[in-house]
Amino acid sequence: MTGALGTVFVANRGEIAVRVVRACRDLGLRSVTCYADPDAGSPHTVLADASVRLPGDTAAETYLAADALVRTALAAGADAVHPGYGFLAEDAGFAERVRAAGLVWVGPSPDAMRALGDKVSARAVARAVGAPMAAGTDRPVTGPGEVEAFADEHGLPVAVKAARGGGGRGLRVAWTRAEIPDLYASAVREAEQAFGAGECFVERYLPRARHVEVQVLADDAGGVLVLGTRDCSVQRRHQKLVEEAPAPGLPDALRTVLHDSAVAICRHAGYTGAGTVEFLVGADGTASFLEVNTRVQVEHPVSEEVTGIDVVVEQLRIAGGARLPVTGVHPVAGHAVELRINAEDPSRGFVPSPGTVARLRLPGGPGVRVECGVAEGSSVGLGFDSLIAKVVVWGRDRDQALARARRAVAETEVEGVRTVLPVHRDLLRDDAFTGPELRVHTRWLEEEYVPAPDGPDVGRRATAGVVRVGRRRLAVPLPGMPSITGPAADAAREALTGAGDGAGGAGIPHDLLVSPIQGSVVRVLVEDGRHVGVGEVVAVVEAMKMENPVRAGVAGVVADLAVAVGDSVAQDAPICRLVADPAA
Amino acid sequence: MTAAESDTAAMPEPVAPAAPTAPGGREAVRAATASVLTGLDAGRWPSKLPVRDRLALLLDEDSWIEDGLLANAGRDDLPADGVLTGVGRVEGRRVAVIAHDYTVKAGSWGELGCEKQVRILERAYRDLLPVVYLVDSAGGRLNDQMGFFPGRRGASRIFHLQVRLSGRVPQICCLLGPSAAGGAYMPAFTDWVGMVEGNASMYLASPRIAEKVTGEVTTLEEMGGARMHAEVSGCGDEVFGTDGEAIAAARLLLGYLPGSYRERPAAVAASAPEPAAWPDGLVPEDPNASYDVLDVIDRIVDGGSFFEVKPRWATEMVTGLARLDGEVVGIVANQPSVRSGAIFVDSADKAARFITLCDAFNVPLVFLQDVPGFMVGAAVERQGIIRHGAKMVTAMASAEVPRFTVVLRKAYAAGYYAMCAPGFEPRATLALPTATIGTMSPEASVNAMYANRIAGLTDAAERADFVARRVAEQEAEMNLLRMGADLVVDAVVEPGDLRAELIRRLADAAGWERTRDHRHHSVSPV
Repeated sequence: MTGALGTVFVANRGEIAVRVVRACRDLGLRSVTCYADPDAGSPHTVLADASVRLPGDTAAETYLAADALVRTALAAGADAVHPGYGFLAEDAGFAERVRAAGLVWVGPSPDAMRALGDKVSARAVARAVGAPMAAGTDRPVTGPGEVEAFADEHGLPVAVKAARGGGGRGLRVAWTRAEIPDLYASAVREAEQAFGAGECFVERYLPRARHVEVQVLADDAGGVLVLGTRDCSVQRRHQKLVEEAPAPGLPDALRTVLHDSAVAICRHAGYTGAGTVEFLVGADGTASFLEVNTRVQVEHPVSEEVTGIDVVVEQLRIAGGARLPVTGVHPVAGHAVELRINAEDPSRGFVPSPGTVARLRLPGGPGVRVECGVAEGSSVGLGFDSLIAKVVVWGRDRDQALARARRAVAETEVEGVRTVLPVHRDLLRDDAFTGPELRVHTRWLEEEYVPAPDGPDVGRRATAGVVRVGRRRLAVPLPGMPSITGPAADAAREALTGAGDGAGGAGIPHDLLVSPIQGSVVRVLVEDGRHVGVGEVVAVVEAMKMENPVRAGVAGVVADLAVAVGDSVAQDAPICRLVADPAA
Repeated sequence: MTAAESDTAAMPEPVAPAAPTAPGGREAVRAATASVLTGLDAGRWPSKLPVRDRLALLLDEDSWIEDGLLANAGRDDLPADGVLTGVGRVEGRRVAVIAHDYTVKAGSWGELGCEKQVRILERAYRDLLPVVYLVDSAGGRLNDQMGFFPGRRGASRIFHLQVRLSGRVPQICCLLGPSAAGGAYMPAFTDWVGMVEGNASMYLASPRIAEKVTGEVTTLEEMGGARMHAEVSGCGDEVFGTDGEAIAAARLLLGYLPGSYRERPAAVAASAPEPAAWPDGLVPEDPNASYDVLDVIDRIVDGGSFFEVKPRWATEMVTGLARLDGEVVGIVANQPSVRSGAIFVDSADKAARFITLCDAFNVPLVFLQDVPGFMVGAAVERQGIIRHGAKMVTAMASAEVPRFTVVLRKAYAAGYYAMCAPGFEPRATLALPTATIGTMSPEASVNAMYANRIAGLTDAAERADFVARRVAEQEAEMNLLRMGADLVVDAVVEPGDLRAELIRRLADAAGWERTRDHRHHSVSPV
């Protein structure tokens, strides 16, 4: 079934190496893993059929040392290399070296990796197949003037992005025209430092957008299988923390567009193996192609849980020349959520928390699956990824999945390192995430979430609450909370422990936009009938030599636009009204 | 004190005391105590916590010591005479509490209720206890007018004590219901008022009375609601969704303030700012570009510690308490993203009031300057912008706590002065590399200085060239190095180092003391 494959070398570590080892075992293949010195004895070295030491402490000496990895694979008698994710998984040069050594590369062809791995060329492919895309340049821009011209034509805000960037590095968002030159310069500078190349392109930025992606598998015979959508909006510093499948609350028409676009992009690039096509979906439902990940992703298990398709097994089968068992859009059953357990300290801005895992209690029971790369006694260093385990839960619907997730989090205990478990605990009680309408977006965790203080577990007398003062949320211990009952107390408890936007939000959303100050209108960015999203700049009033952006407090359609560039306006003079979108 | 809401005026006749087996004996006291602790069921609102639950939420467990529980115990309809008074602890620290019971005649003030409030305030004065007011009162109980209104132990004595307590101990108010007529002054004399939306209101005369007297037709929410007071009148500080949130915020705020003027605020363990990284361009180089100063404050203060004061009112000025390496500081910052960050009449008042609060309770001040000046124009002059600006300058210059000035970007005109310019003796004046200081922007000052010359240049190109050259001269005059070289600023600090620099300088000022002037007090340009 897997053709010529007999022994698979896993060029990775941690939970994904364990995951590949297990898939090999399921297929009757032999697996060989490798390890850097700090990983000696960790689960991926123990569970594999064999494991080879790569001398060194750092990633550069070990999991990133392409030549050493190929040599080790050959010496171990492997006939295929699985790169996992991260490290060299998206390095087309490494794939070429693996192939040149006569080994099978478990992944797409180097050409397909190049075509879809570079953001600019991936955008070109996406544009060619008609994938939804916010306005943007299809080649790197030459200077800030071009960015300004783009903003003039397509409106603000705009994102300046490094062509080779990722994880939010080399990304800048300009909300006003005036800040474009500075932001452009700093994006280029960061891109040069981080990626060695300063090319940046520009696109319209979608505020409060969700991250929605499509999991695809493709075989050599042209068969493509879509395993539905995932939502990965809960992120910190552009790194995902919680993922779920299918993406909740998407209109069917949009879901179909995303599926079809993903298939078309993969077909166009001659893509094979597992891949993910990522999109942003704005608060107004606008979808925009983001990028393609040419590898298996951390969050693949949620798609497996709702389709029953083993993504890693299929990767290995495809690499061995087999065809997909089914093609088309796979039906989805139930709902799955993945919680990443990272060794990070959420109370200190998610900085890595190195240490030795002194105690580890993993959850179980119905609907709970754990992918774990550490054991008690494992050390978690600063040199590698801070992901130590993933808790994946399945339920017949989202509510059941979330209930099981709450149970799983309560069962999980990690001592010796700080983890993001408190964030999961809070998130799973937060109406923005658990409510009927998903209100999280990719900046939600950083902008709207505040960690509750540690240890307010049931049974303790004091309850910790979170109260919003101004635009910030602050933690506060509340001694009497558990003993007080009644509807008002329940409401207070809800507001103090949940995310409760409550009455504490800033400002009153208003359908009438007025000038904040007496001054002159220097820019008008909309016209009657134009749809604007929350936070979008409608006009700019200059006063006291300062630009005052007038932003939409609610999403809607512009009506009764009352100002033009050059007009002098009094404080509180009407700018325009925002009426409900008839299309929404 | 004028007439209160008339729902308290329509009083039933006094109910005869229940006939105890031994009148006024031990059994009667037990029964009366139990009945007061149970409280009245009638008149409970689903959206309000019962008064004793409010206390449980505010105070550490088992810390409540109550006085006058048996007030008016002969009458079943007036348990505790509608107000609870006593002493409890918040995070271990003693506080005096006044809590109105809205189920008892709408929390109205009668003779005994006033006496209880007077006594606890006298005690707070004597023992230097912070006071927490859980206000929910329809005002004076009109059928007990002689009891609460004209005499020496009535409402006027309460207000007298509140004023005498001001600046002596912190006074924190949760407005959980109405504070009507004369009672409206109770929140007004406190340092901070948190209000529950939908339930809280503050007004001198109800809409009904207003309509009778002036013909104006309005609603309670419009003339005295929580949002109106937090956003328009400035009489309130913040709006909350529930009693629990307002009380939680009061607990939190008490943690930033000392027990009295004699103490300094307690430090806690430091925590890292969130987020900590200072991205390029957070404070834009372009002096005209807008940005949110909260993003700057987040990067300076300990994570999750910024307690903004009056966050909804006069938002071109940001004021709030925060922790810097665990120590409490007051932040006064211009907000470039609102109304150009210029200072208006209300924002001057807001800053003056906040500075006074910090100075009263030994909280060092950090001024974050990015100000184009006081707002100009006929509208603000008619509102008395000069008088209000002078008030802010008076408050700032009178504050004896250590003051630190940081010029984030532009510091122009009298705005630079009011935000604690070097002449007002801040402990230090620091500048970010983006700082410029001047009487006005270079363009504006060239246009003012050379108005006649510019007007005389008829050739457009020549005129533009002339202006450009003079602007360049002005910019050179206002340059950063010059500010350091001429000792205008004490140090130029990279943004990423600002927090550490402020922490060092705050620690260095730890031994500060007051220098008393020989006068009674300044004459404030109110």
